[in-house]
Amino acid sequence: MSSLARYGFVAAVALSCAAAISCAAVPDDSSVAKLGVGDLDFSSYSAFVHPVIELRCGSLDCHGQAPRGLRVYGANSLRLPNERGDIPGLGLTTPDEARATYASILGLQPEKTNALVMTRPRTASDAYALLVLTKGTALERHRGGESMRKGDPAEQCLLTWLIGAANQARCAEAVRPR
Amino acid sequence: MSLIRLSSLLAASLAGSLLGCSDPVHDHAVERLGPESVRGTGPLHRAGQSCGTCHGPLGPARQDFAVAGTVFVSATSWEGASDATVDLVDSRGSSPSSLQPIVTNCAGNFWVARSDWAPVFPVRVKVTKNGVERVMKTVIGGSASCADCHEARISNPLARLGAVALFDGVNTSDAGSTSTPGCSAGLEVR
Repeated sequence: MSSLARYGFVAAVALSCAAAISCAAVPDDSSVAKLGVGDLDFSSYSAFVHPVIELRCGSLDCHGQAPRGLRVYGANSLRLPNERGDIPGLGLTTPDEARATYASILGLQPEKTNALVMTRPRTASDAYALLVLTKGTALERHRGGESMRKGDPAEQCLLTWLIGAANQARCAEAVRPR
Repeated sequence: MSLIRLSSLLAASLAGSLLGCSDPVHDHAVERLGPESVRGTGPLHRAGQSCGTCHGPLGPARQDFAVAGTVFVSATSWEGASDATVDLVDSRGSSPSSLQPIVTNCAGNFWVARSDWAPVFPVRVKVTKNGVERVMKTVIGGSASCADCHEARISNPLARLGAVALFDGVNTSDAGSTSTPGCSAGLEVR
């Protein structure tokens, strides 16, 4: 093969590859985005656990701000964009804000969270593989220090939710005014 | 080159490199505060600004504050609320008020030196004056400055609150005098 023919062949292959790569499938607009990890129970998160997370972790100088890996949304935390005029300290926490926080918790360590979800039955030590517990209890270095202590109502609320069923009484105790 | 000369050069180079070490994020935060006003440095300066930016471990101010901020009379007058009592309680139940009450000055500024109180966050806070009491709904999670979250000119309404205005929404005729004669300091936010 002459050198001209060789260059022509290489150019044709390169063009074919480029064309193949650039031909994307038709976008599937019908699909609904899903979390890439197995779900933890959202309804009990929203009803019982979220108020605890919002109170203990969601102040505006901690996780109630956008630059955090774990973002906490809520009435007294970071607000989701809204047309009601809700700002921190005004209005109620919306279901969307609870869901956005839930998604943030799951997305913090998706693989580890997924591994936990797939574990049956789950134990406390399984749940303690997650930063949301180890940082919250300051077992892992945490700039905000010890937001909850092992055995206290807030830790028990989060732990019981992660391992199966949120302890509603402990969750309620954790948000009771002191 | 003698050993002494070589050692001196090494020491000088080490000192130079240490002096050259700075935190550009912190430097930028200090710079953003802008120049000192005609009032100059001192307890009345920079009302409404983030005290802990300079009064923190990285300086440049000499005194390191554990918690500090400004209490205003209202978000319309931006007059400092002087003589307001600030109660702070940390997660251990420790309070700087056990040593002496924390009271705002003419500018509405208050501060607690870290050498006097090293809180274990979170910290709860309450401000009172003339029977008017404001309890912060949430805790201070770890910030040394009120202005880190409470801004006179809110930069992001989804993530920041207005400045601490003690008498907003209060009938001030019931609360008596909100200001102190002779005090004229106020907001210094650019």
